Parts: sequence; C-alpha cells; structure tokens
Amino acid sequence: MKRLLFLISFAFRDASKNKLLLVLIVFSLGVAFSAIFISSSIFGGFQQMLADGEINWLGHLIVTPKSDQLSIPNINKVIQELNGIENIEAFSVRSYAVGGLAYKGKIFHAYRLLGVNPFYENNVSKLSGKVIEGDFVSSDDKKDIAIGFTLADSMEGFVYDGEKVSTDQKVQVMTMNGNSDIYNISGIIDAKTFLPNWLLIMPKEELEKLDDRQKDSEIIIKLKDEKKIKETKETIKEKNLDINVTTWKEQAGYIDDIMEAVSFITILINYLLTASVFIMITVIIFINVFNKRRQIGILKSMGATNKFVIGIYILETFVYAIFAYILGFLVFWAVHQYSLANPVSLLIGDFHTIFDVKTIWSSLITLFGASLGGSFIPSYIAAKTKIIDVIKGSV
Amino acid sequence: MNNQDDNKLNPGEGNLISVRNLSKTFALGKNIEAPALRGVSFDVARGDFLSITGHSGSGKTTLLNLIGILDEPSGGEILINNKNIHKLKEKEKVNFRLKFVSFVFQFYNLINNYTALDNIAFPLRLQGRGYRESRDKAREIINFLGLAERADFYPSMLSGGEQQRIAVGRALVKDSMIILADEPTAHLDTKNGKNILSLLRKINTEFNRTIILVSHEMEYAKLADKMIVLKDGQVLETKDL
Repeated sequence: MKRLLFLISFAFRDASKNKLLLVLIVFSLGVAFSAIFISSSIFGGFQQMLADGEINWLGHLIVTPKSDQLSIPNINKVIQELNGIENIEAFSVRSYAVGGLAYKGKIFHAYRLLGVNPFYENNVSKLSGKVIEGDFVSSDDKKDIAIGFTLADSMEGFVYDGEKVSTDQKVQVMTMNGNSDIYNISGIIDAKTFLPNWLLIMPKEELEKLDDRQKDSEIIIKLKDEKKIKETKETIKEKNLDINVTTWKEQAGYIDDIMEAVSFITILINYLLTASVFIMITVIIFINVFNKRRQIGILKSMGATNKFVIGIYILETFVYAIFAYILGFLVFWAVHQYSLANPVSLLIGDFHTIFDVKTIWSSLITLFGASLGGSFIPSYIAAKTKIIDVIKGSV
Repeated sequence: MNNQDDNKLNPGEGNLISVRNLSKTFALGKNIEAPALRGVSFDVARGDFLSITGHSGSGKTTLLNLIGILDEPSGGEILINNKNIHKLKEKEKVNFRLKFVSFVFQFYNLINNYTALDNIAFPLRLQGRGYRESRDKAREIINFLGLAERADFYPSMLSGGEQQRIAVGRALVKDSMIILADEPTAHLDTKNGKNILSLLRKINTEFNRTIILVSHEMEYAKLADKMIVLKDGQVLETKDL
C-alpha cells in the first residue's frame, strides 16, 4: 500500500513537473475527447430528431389490419383489450382514404387523407402541436381540415419555393370513390417529417362520410414506458386479435435505414477518434519516456521494478486523461448548451445535440481504455530496456 | 525476495566481493567486437575502501556496472558472499539493487522535482517504507552531510558539490553493504572533489560500508585503502595503500 501511494505521488509529481507540457498534452487530448463527445452528441441528436419525427405522428406502436383487410376487424374488442394493457398510456383510432383536393382549378394529391378524433389523437400524436398557421381540426367544426406544410406549399407556385396556400381557403376534397365536398383549411402543420407534411387531416367521422372503406384502419398507441415497447407489442399480439402490430421503427422503414446508417457512421468516427487518442497517448508517452530514459535508468539502479516504471507512465497517463476528460466534457457541454438554445431548423426537424449519460460513460471507459493501452506499450518497452542502456542514453 | 533469499547475500565469513576471470565484450557492429574487460580477478573484503583507476577506456566503469548488476558479463563471475550475482533471478537482482548496493553517479542524477531531503528519502520510499519514516531517516543523513539548511531546496538550487553530497546521502540512506561510486568527482572542482572523497571515507569508517570508487584521477584513487589499476581491460596493478 505504501509503495502504491508512493507510486501515485511520484507519477503525479512527474506528470506535473513541466507545467507547459502538461497543459499542451491535456489541451490536445481534451480537444480529441471533446470531438468524441460532440460527434456522438451530433449523431445522437440527428437520430433523436428522426425518431421524434416518427413518434410524433405515429406514437410508439401501430395497430393495422392484416394485409387482406382494409379495416381493423372487431374494433370494439381491440379497444377493450388495449384499455386493459398496463403500459399503454393512450391510443387513437384513425381512418384513412386516398384522395386529393382541388384548389384554384388544379387538383393536388395528398399522401393520404387522415381522419382523426382530435380528442384521442391529441393524447397520442403531436400533430396538433405542429400547427404553424391557423388551428388543428376540431370536433366542433366538421368542415375544417388541416393540411401538411409541403402539400400547402405545392398548392401555390412550386413545391419547396416557400410560397404556400394560406388558411381559411375553401377547397374541394375528393376521394377515390368519387365523393367530394367543400372544406375550409383551418390550419397548416409542419410535422418536420416527410410523410405527414403531405397529409390532409380532417375529423374522422367526416372522412368516413366521404369514403369509409379504410375506416378504423390504424390505431396509434402511446406507451408509458417506451423501453418496454417490444414486450407491449408481444402482449398485444398474444391477444390474438387478428391484427398487425408494429413498432414505429418497423413502420418507418426508410427512417430506420437512415438511423442505422447514422449509427454506423457514429461508430466509425468514434473508432477513428479513439484510435487517434490511442496513437496520441502512445506518441506522448514514447516522447516522455525517451526524455526521461536516464531517470528510468536511475530508478531501476535504485531497485525500481519494471512494474513500478510501467506504473509511473500509466498513472501519468491517467492524470492527463482525467484533466483531458474534464476539459473535453466542458467543451462539449458548452457546445451542447449552445445547440439547445439555438436549434437548427431543418426540413426534417429541429436539430440540436443531445446529452446521453450512457454515451458519456461509455466514452469515459473507452477513452481511459485507449489511454491505458496507449501508455502501456511505450512504458513496457522502457521498463524492459537494459538499465545500462537507459542510463547511458543509448536508446 | 524472501528472507531466505536475502541470506544468500548477507555478510558471512571471507571476502564480500570476489571477481573471478571477468570479461566483457561489446559488439560494435556486425562482426566487430570491442573487449572492455579481459580476465579481471580481485577480492574485496567487507569494509574495504577500494579504488579502481586507469585511463579512459580501461574498463573501470564497465567493471563497476557489472558489480552493480547494471550490465551482464560476457564471461567469468562476480561472487558476493559466495553467491554469483549474475545468476540471480530477475526478481532477486531487483532486490539486490534495492537493498544491497547503492550507486553514486558522475552526473549526480538527482530527481529534479524532489527536494534534497526527498531525494535522500527516495530509496527508502522505493523499498516501501512510509513517508514520515523515510523523511526522518533522510533528515539524519542530511544532518550528517551538513546540508540540513538545504533540505527543502530543489536540485537546481544546489551547487554541483551539494548535489553530489545529496547523491552520496541517497546512497547511504538505505543501509546497503556496498556503495559504488563512478567518477563522483569528475564534474567538481578540487575543493568539492576532496570533500566528496572525505565524505566517502567518513562513511567507510563510521558506517563500515564497503566502497568501490572509480576515478581516473590518481590523486583521488590514492585516498582509498586499496587500489586497482586497469589498463586495456586487464588488471595492471593491485596496491595496498
């Protein structure tokens, strides 16, 4: 124990001997560490943005009819069963139709016509909160519709030219069965996701009046505990309700592909940055050992063991790593706070970095592992060198 | 090393150090060898003050390094209390350096960021002794050296002579049987050089330590009890002084 305390004290004093060098090493490592935190945080934020975009309009779980059916059979029984599942916080039954709308003599197709019950819908999706102009559909006025931002944009000028139809415009909504009616655009939503921004949303009963073939064709479910999404999905499936149950990730296939690609890039970048930390530490300790080879020789001539010599440089690296981690974290924290205060508005969402405790801990372990590995090799070589060679400085 | 191992090197009857037909050859390149020592033999009794002298390149430092197990011989053997120290296991060699032998180097080799007192205490800390105990013992030594007022000075604040005295104190503190001094006066002026030699003599008589001094200066070499003169890696002359 006394030897260990001595080793720690020696390593600390040795590391802090040259203050300028210490600052430079900590600064360079700190920058590398912050790059790891920030890159993870950026990609994590990007994934979060994509995930939020989907969850905001689909909830966590989605119930749909089997492939040979347009509507969910025995909807009342399904509702009854869903009400009995502990982890379900809220759900909303939706109806769909295929159609479009006529405006100023032109016909515009919507991705889908979505019929919702605003009371239930608002407990699950966040579409009503995404209104950028006017109001969301309500149960009071059946002739009000809300349309997605891109659809609204397409109705005036060209898509993505920024010029869009304004609210309180009358449009004729048409469905595939030939029915149509006049509605008032009460609101425009920007869901920051591709598909919902092409939606035409109206009260569920009203949509079913126009076309009821896809009545009750989707139930979106919000969970109390998102982490239990797979268990809850299985619970629903076990009820044998003759329905399909999918998670939001399964539903949004292309988003999942993008997220996987982002994950891959994140892991790749983190590996490269960790490797750079490893190399940086190796080079620093190599230079350190080279500059102190006479000291190593003197220590060994006094009876210092190889373990002691290796221990010095590994502990020195820990000193560097601790300071660098703190510096790197502070840099990351400053960037993160700035990002939270100034999110970047993108077509697919508002982007900001995220603070993920798990990532910070795993980075801590990875970086300390890289530091340990990086310092071990040169210190091992130094410890194994013949005393006479290090004293004479011939290595 | 356990107690039984320690006993292998503990003082017994007869010579403390016996060097037998020792040789050392350095490889300078492919097929080029430079013999540094050739068949060197001599004995050192416990409490002896031996000097090894000779011209530059005569093999003095090589011989000292071999006695301190800083290097390995090409042939022959070095017995300390009848134990061939170059046949010790690696762990035992470390223990030998930790407990039984101390070095005083030409360039002092103090640890820059340690005070004079902490430099002297250093070998004891390395042995695993506590901070307070080591410093108390180091304080006794620094008083003996007459440098008590310099105890908290860092090496850069000390003169060359003072640094070498601290280095001698560091060699003295751990109660090792043998002190090996490699040209300890080489970088000192005459006055400081004589002071260091006086100090080594005092340690030899008062603490009964066996001292082997390497010096190319005959004036200093003659201050020992016995002198070995080396020439071209061989013992030219052995003298009792």
